[in-house]
Amino acid sequence: MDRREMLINSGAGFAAIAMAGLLDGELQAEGTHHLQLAQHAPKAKSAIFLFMEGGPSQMDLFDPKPKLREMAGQQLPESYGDIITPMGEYDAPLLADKRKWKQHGESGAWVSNWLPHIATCVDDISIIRSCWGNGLNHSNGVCQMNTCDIRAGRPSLGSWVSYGLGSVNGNLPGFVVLEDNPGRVINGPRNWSAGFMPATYQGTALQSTDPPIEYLKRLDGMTAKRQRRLISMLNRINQDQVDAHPDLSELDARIQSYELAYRMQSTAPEAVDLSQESESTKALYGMDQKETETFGRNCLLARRLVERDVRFIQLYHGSGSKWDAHSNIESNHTTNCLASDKPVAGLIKDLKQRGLLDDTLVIWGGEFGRTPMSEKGTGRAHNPYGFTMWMAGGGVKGGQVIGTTDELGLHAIEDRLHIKDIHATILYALGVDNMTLEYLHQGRPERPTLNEGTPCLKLFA
Amino acid sequence: MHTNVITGNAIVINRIPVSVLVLLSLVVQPVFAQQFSDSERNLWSIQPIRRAIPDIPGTDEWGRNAIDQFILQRLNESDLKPAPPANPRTLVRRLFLDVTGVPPTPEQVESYISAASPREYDALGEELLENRGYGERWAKHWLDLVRYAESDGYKQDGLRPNAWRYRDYVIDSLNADKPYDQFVKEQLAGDELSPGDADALTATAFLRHWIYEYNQRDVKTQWDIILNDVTDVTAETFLAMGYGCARCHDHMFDPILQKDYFRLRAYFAAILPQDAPHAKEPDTIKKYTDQFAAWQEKTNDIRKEMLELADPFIKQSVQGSIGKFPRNVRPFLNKPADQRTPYENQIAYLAYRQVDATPESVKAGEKLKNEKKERWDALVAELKTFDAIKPKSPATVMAITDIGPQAPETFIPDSGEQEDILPGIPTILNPEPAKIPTPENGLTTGRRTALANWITSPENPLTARVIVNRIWQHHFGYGLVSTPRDFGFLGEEPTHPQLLDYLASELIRNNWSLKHIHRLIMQSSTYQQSSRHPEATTNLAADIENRLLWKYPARRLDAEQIRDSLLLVSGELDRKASGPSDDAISMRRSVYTKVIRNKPSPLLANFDAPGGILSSPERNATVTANQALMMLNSPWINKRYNAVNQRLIKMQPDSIEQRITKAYEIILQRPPKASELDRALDFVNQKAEIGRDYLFDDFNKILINSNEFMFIY
Repeated sequence: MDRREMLINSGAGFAAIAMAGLLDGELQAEGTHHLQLAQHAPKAKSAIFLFMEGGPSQMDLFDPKPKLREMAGQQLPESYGDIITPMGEYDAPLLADKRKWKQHGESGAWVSNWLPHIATCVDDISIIRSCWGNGLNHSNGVCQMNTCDIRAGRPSLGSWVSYGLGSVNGNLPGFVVLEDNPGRVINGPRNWSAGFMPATYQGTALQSTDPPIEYLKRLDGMTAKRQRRLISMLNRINQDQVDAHPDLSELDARIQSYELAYRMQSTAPEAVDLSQESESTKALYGMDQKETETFGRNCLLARRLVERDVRFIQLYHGSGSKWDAHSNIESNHTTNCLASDKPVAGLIKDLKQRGLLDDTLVIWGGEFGRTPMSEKGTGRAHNPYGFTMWMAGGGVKGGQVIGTTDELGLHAIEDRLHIKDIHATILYALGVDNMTLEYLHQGRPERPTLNEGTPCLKLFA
Repeated sequence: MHTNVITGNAIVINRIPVSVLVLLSLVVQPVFAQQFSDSERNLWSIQPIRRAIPDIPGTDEWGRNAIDQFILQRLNESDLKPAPPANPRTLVRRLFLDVTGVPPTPEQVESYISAASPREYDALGEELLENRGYGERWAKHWLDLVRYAESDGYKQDGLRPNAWRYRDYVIDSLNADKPYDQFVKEQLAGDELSPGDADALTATAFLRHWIYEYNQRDVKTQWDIILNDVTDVTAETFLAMGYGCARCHDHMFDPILQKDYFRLRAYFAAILPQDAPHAKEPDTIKKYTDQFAAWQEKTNDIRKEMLELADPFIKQSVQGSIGKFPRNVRPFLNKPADQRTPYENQIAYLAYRQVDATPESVKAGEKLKNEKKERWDALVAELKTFDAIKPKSPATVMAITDIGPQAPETFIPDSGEQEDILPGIPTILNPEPAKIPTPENGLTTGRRTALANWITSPENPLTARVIVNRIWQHHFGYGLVSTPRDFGFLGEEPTHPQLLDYLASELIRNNWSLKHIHRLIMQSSTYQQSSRHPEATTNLAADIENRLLWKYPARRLDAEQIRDSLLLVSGELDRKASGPSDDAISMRRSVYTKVIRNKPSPLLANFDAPGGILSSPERNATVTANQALMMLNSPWINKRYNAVNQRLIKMQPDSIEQRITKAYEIILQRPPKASELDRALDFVNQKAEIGRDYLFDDFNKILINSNEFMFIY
């Protein structure tokens, strides 16, 4: 009886199969494709989540509010209810946006002049103006945007994807995270942890520096040849225990894990080796300009990872709450938009010109948006009650605007999409049903969206 | 088979798909909420503990104590035979790793082997239980359960510089074989039950390990989450009951009503975090209090004047801060304390943790101008002259008390009912509210004492079963109940119910001695079996998961065992016990390294150590390429390999053959077989561009990375 059957016999059902699939995937040599576990025809093979950390302002980017300009300086009308703001500035006056707005593309979607490059992609983008969540502070918000729960401890979305769909490329991790300021993201590696699931499904932080993955680089004096010899000898010695305990599959798995580790030392650096990219490609991502170089590089890396069948790639922009414009939103968002706009647009255009956009779901958004009320006179507070995200590629019908917020942009009102719905939607695009994917944890069936959440099918063509 | 399960997409519990059960429970909900079905009343884990030892004749090799009778009974029923005894070397390594968390030294192995006999074996087990390493190893299992960490979590992840006192409390309690009922009582209500007892106070940190956001303005919601967390962890840790499901609705599978969730939560309704003075000698605190009062008296006028000078800034700070809290909190803060309800006082206390209200914290000295500033500076200087009689603050400990003798009310949220839910045990066991003793000092509610008394009552069917199952689990890799967190319908039933009850009754009969249970397990033939079986293939067909224990379950070492073993064989292990934790790169045992929620130690996390956020009754044992990369390329780990090499060269400077033999003895606790020695010599003598010493280094690295080192057999 093989491991997969054993797991099924243990009564864990679908969840166990998904796990066995992944184990097989990891153990197979040279990254052969294994059993696909999609529950319906997937629209996307990979997803890239562009996480604008700190909370970008919807009413300054994608959700124009003429009423806000009219009422600027006044109090939020009582009809909007009692709003809790994290920094505790209550009764602050409403703050008008200072943007120039234009309709773009054939679809005529509104985008402000803070994002001129993304504006050229609107016909490929579906803007969702009616997102909402429960996290009032960054830690809660970032945690919920990753795990559906404001409280820590659950597996992140990328882990669920790894668990549910397995790894396609046997030589690279299936869930990769890129930070623009490594080590600064709120909550740290907990954001891409596998929670209560095995560490196998956790995200791997990857950098464009050398080495791209922690511990990937051999130490001085350890040549590839010498290490090869070491691992071969290790395999022979390890095989003794495999022979003595034929039913302990972990022992053989350890042999395979060293082989994979050995291969990753060449495949991972190759994956991040941008010297293979042309100057014009790099320029498309803004890598030729100082302001856009860092995020441009990460966006380009994301494309290369997609080409190598990495399932779930999460890019943090502004890691360390850089989008968090409590005061002086003008200078804050000018800087952040400049640094991210061209790289993001470059990614979409590059994916499209290479025919990869159809199979790649791109998601853009922060942990929350910002309030129409001012803070410290020139900034805006956190707003989990209504904010904008967008998606492109992966079967998404471009040129749409879904949902609305109220006249001031505070609450999502029409087609409200909770973060759980957004996760359900992302999973749907990848072929996973959020209510079917289960992981048995301590006797309880756990699901990626906490037994709630519905995919927004309007998004898809 | 695969296809069926995939398309069916069903999780099957006791052969009924979950979806059907959910549907059923929804349909019968009204009845379900009011009364319990026979099957619920018959849930195995809430039946009284029954003691009955089967009379199964043992053999020469098998049957050292009662445990073996139970195991043999099930094996006989399945026509299986147990494995032969493990060889003495394997057994001694198993015992050391299992009981103390590190393998034996070659000398320890030899001294045992030379006299290996059942008596020697038992004596060794006894010795190891008396070894400090026992508490250091087994405390970790407990710390996993109670989500122990030394930082707050959340964005700031602030350090908890005194959390280690609780860790030491657990280690010391286990080493002293503190009766388990006392151990439980101290953690739930040490402050009420043993006022003035430093250990008992330290124990209440059990109720403090929740994640906490120090600047969360939404105080009410955060407090609600904290009370839920405390309720969940208590139910899971002591009772293995999945109360969490019942927070929002009656439990769909277990006989736990939503009301029962809040009855349990009500025991904690009055709790208040306190960072209390801590000293082993009660006199120390008394002395401090007296000296401090004397200093206060002598400096009264000075401080009063300073307070007056600072008053405008304090008022400004307090008023400014209060305005930052939500409207549903502000009124509590503006009321004088004696006009607040207990709940309002609790919330105000938590909110005021965020408010600067002392002359120092509002930086009055920097804000005053002209004469006032001069006067301030003069007062500061004058106050300083009393420093000599000002006592040094005693150490503090994270602890719990109550807001007062009256508990805040507990409501079921969104139910529309305004009935104050009183503390009580699950309705199925007793629907009446609990009887609450009145604490002598009149400062607390007595509710937690009532809970502690119920949990540790010998009549409680769960407590003893749950803890003996955990001990069994950590000796064998899995419990007699394989779902250590859930003894309800969603969990699995015990494979050996009578054995579980026998151990539970042994625990209670022996004054709740955990070491007694360890002893019984370690002395059993079941534990001393080989992890290999001559008829493994046949046996696997009958019992693929080895749940009947026809052999000892081999398994990967856990994170701390790997790290500590590495340090032991490299000769670098720092045995310093107790005290504040060190960074992960220190040479101390892992239990003495910091548990930082947002920055886990890469080595420990990579090998599946939990993050200290949720209660973790069991760990995964993954095998990943990231582990292999780390073991191969981590600079810190490679320094340990180098230390092993240096140690071996020093021991055997001349003969490479003897050096390899020594490497086997130190790393794998056995000499190499002749064929292994030949293979090793071939490896280090390769004609290569790599030097012989390098290859010897590599060989040690190979042994440490080997399946043999990384597993317990």
